[in-house]
Amino acid sequence: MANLKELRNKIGVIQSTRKVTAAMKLVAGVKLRKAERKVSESREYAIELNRILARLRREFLDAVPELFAGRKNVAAVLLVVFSSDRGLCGNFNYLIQKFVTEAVLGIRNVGASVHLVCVGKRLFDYCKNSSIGSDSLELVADFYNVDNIYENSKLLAEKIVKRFNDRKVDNVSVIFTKYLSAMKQMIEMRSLIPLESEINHDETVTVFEPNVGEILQQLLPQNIAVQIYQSALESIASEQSIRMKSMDNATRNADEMLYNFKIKYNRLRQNKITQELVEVISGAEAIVEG
Amino acid sequence: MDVKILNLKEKLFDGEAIKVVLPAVGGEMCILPHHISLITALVPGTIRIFRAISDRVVSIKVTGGVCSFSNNSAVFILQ
Repeated sequence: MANLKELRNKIGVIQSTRKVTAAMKLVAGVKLRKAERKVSESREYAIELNRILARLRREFLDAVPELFAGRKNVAAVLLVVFSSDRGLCGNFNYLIQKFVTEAVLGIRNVGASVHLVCVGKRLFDYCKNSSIGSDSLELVADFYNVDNIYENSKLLAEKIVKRFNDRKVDNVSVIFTKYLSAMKQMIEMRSLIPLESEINHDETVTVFEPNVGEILQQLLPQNIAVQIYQSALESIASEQSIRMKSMDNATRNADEMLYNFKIKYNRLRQNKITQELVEVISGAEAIVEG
Repeated sequence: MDVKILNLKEKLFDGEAIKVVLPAVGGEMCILPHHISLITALVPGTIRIFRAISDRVVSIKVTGGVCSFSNNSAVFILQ
């Protein structure tokens, strides 16, 4: 049985851990609210942009640009995957790892090569150390720098478009954790090239200025940047909400442990006092009798 | 007609209007309700929104983007 000093130490350690987890929960909560606001603001933008692209696509029924419709023979697939830079966020990174492993396997089974671009260190470290089976692996470091996310998305989009135009990859998808609510997140794989767009049934004649080609040339790279930006924001919001949840659990566990240890500690202390009293009384009795 | 002006960070305008003047590639363009469907690129300039005859005009400076008009609703996607 543990002695009093050991128990006191244990209680001290748990108390300080509890302080850390409670603080992390609060920080994650604040970050989550901020990320949540950004996600909902950019979501509408992304949806409207997609709608415009769907209308443009209708005009191009026979000669859709490659950046829009993709290539017929897919020999190489590029996956852009969003994980987190930091740990302590429950199973967030584990679920992404599992999803990516399956996706890579699926693509390789079809006979195409897979190139991975990891946004966030966690996934990169995992892929580096395990045999995930991708043909190339690349890390985009420091992507989640609060004020530069859109600039970073633009740079990443430019790189992706260049790789596509150089015919190094034929198909590009993003994998990220979609933020549905503070309690619910879902991993989603979305295709960037070819672009997933809703089908437009609007048959009205549309006037284009200057012309469809030029508008598309401006919009397509922008759309890829916006989709990447949107995925990053969704991923950040999901990460923070999962972190908040797991820190809340940790704080509760710490509370429970503290409660149990305190009861044990008090019982032990009481035993010790009783024993000492018994010793003193029996000692006194022995003197009186003597 | 409905007018919605969005950039990545916020919704700059969302509401009814009777006339919108915008800086299109080919020069300034005016959109009235029930205009034919339209998609146009924007150049740097000012979008002016007339909400009602007597109301003051809302002006928004833009550096570029796209305007899409269909079904009596205009959506501006700014850069």
